[in-house]
Amino acid sequence: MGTTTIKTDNDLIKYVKNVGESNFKKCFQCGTCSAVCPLSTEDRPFPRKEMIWAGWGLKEQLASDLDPWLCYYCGECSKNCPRKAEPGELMMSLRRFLISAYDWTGISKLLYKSKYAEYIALLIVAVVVFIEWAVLFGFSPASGASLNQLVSPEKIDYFFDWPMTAFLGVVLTSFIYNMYRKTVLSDKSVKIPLKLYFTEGWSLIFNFFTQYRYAKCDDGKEPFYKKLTDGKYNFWLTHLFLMISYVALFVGIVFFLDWFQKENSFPLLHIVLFDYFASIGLMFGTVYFVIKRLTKKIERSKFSHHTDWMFIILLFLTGFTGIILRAAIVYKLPVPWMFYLYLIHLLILFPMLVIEVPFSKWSHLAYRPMGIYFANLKEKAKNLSKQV
Amino acid sequence: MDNNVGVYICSGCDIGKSLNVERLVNTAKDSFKPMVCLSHEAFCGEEGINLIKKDIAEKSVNKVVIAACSMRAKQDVFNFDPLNVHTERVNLREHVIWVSPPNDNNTQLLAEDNIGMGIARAKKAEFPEPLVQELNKTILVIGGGVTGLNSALNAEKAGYSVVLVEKKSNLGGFPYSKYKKWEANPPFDKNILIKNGMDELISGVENSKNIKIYKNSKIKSISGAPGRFNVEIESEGESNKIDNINENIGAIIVATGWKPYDAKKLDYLGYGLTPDILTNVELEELYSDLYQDGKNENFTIKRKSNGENVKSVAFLQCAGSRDENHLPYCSTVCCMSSLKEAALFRKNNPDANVYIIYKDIRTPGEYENFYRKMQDDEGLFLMKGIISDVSFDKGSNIISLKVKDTLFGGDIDLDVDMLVLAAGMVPNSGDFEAGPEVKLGSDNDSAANANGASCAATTTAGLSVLPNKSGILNLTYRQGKEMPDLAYGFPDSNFICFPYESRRTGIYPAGSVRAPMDAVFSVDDAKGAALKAIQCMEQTSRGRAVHPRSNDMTYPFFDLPRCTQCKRCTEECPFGAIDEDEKGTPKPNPERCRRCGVCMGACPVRIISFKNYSPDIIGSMIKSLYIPEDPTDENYRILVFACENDAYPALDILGLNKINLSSNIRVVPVRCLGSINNVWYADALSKGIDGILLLGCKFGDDYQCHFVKGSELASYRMGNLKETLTRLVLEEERVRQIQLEFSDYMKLPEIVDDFVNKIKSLGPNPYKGF
Repeated sequence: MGTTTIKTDNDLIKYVKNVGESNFKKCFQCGTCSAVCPLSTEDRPFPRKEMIWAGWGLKEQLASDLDPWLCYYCGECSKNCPRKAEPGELMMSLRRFLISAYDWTGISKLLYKSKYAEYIALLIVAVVVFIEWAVLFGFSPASGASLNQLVSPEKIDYFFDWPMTAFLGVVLTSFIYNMYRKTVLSDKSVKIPLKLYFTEGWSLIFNFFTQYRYAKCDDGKEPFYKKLTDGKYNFWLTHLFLMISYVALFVGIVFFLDWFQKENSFPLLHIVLFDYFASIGLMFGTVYFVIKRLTKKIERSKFSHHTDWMFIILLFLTGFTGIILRAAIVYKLPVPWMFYLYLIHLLILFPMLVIEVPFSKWSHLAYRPMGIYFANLKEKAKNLSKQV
Repeated sequence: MDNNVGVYICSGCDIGKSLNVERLVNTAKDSFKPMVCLSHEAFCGEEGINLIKKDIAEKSVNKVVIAACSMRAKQDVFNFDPLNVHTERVNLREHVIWVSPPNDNNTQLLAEDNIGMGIARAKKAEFPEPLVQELNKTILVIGGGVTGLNSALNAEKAGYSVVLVEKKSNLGGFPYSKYKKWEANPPFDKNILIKNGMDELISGVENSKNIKIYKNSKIKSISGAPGRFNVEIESEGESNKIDNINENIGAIIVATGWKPYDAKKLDYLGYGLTPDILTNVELEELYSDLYQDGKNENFTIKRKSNGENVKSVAFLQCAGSRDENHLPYCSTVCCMSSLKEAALFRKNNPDANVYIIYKDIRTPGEYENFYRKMQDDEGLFLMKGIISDVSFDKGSNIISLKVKDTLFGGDIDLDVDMLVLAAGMVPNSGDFEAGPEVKLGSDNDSAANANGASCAATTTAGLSVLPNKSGILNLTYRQGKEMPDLAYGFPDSNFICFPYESRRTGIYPAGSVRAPMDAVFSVDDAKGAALKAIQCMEQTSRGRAVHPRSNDMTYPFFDLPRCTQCKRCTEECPFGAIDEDEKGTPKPNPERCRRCGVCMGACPVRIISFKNYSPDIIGSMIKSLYIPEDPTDENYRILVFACENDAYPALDILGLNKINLSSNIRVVPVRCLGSINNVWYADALSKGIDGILLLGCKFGDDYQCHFVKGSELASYRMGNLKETLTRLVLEEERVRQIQLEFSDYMKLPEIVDDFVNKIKSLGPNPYKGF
């Protein structure tokens, strides 16, 4: 509770206003939002403090804030806000701001500011893919050749998947380091013992694979099964299903592409995990979220930024073209069809991964668990120093 | 005068089922020998009322005693010509059968006593002789600001001529000199700022044939009374020649407005450190000057210190307001005006950040929309907090603020180019003559608010604080030159019931001299005060009282040859109605009188009386009571003096709720507890009454007395009475005053029982039977 020196950043206020639909300037700091939030704690009274930081454009405080990653937008705050200031939406906007703050290249900021920038970025990647394809495979599939002869998995791996994975890995890691620098290293009030990084590692993995904080978004007193049957966990479980499906497919395709292009290796695993589980997860999940965003009945889906739409549509199309392609392979459709289907699939898949993962909506895949991890580290370290 | 008494005992509304009406009729006939005594099942019905009317017409009955419901009910039915027929209402319904067990001897005795008191009063009462006169009906409006102009225009529209006195050379007041104002009509959500919205109003007043305007003028003196005020106006004409003008005036509207709080006292907030720390009024002047310089909307606000563009400005709300050491009240306008000034800043210096530091933002009603709209501006920052330090660095020319208790969860440091202190409004209600040692608010009010006990130390209850102020009205009244204040220089009136009233009849404060308010609210105030002024002139010329005893045609009569010049009446009149000559003999002004009877209560030699309300009349009522001598529980007799304004209605409501009340009490309604003359205590105690209970309004700084000081005076006078009681070896506890709010009626049974039990513990009045 020290002294805050006021340095307002009016551009930041405009930016945060721009990337969401929160009326955070309407806030008069009653604190209802933090009081009703099932996740906010006494030490972390979000979204109240974020409301005033955003209202006053305090960049330093906002950029070093991890709390937006701890919020899952249950919308209780927005529902109860007496000024209709939409604190939940502010937390969403701040996540967008943070994505652009961690990104030292400045690309995210452009994408969030303008949907045309996003179209152009996606198009550039698509053009690169198109040219690569033209150089590697041409546009006239030789008749009688199999798909694997026309589009060899090795070439895809070497020229598409692996360079992209490496790119994503390097870029995302540098962004996460940037996040770590801003949120943990810059905080002089807390020093984290090395040991904690390992002992808290489980929380990173646990949160990544369960997204359990979603479940905590409902602090009703009913037992788990009651909430489950009442549909209170639908959003969480759908999100989890979609995420697991996606991760399974991503890992499968990037590292075991052979499987996908040959229909009969490990048939059981393939059929159960990818053809059924992951395909259903991907299609069901994306369609579910599109419906939620269209009907706007729940707080979390009330407002949609253009990056939200782009992400969910690209994900759906990627999954859809992938499934068709896979079906074509399994049901042995004419090879030229598969050839072009493959191209279309890549033209959607690559722009989505290259742009959305590090620079846009999809980066939350990494930032969310990392945010929880860093927050845990800081809290544990603080508790340790208190005990001393 | 013939005393043809007709007694009409109603048996309707279950009165007949709860009381032996036949016995009541016989007792009344035997004891008081009225000309007529009848009972009927509904005197308010056509057949019943015709019986009374027939008696009035044929038998010349001129004192009609109706023993039925409360005097507050059926006033439209029992409305005989008051100049020729005295109507006395005896309350058998609300005060007897609804609060007592039916067919009980004590209930019957209570009804008999009530009828007896009614007849006694009717016999003594005379018919009012209203003071009907041809009076002047010109309204004087003092102050040509928003309130004054609107008052003048509204009065003129209603057909009255107006004299408007303005001290400055132009009309329009403070808002006229302002660069821009917020719009006058809700919903205020478009943040429209308007310029020169007053031209139409001013030209309307200036072009009116019935409004005489004196600019550059002041009031030198006001004497007289409503309908015959003589106003001396000091007017500065061309080449500084001073003219003295006399105007005859009917009623006065005081619209003298406000003045800004003395900024020099705000040095603790940095005022004086640099010209860039200025007050809200100075900022308005700055805007106005900047506009006037170029006659252009697109000016840029520059720092006074170095002429550079202002890049950041902080407004400090409640600067010296809501602060016990300065102005303890909220001026209500500063939040809106700071928001408006912030809007101008944002428009004219778009790069500037505007910070507003507040204790609370108070934008009541639909003004909230203005505030909400302003919140959206990303260059405006609103911060709840308390300023803890203002410092100024000459080298960098930067003003540094420290704010504590903020919503950032700690203190904040803020550097700005300009600091605006949103200081409050002080009513322009005259200056204290005593000099600097008289502090605004504090000292005077503690005395004004003192209760009866500490009042004994001063000459007269609460009245030692009558203002030694002057400069606005300069009245020639005995009680002082200005309207008495309630607190902080705002005029005193029973503000709950009577806005625009003051303690000077016919003089109505309106606008920000009455209470802090902005121009929008002042417009309504102006209309209210104009209506009050008109009402006063019309009522007075018909010989009728104004609020709260509207239409009362009696007024106090002073039997001056017997006066001892004790000056109590002239000092204690809450409305300053009575002047005095050099010897101290009272000079009553019936036009200024509100008919409360406080003077009658004050007079030790009982020379003040009304035609239907006097020491003798109430004394006769008391003497008419039957006091049983057996010292049994039910034979204790408690006399209750109940204020007609709140306590009497409270008793009625208790009856309406059918809640039992002790049958030991006998209720005598009084105009105000302040009208109780000490002789009535003597009358009652010598008659054998065991205890006296006064039910009246709350007094103190949030008093509810309709006559401002009445209940407080009663309490003060009881202090003297208690000494007398002790001398007579009577316990002082036999007299008790209770402050009762109208809504407290449910407490009445407990209050009465408590007092009755106290009296029983003291035993019967030893003078019983003497």
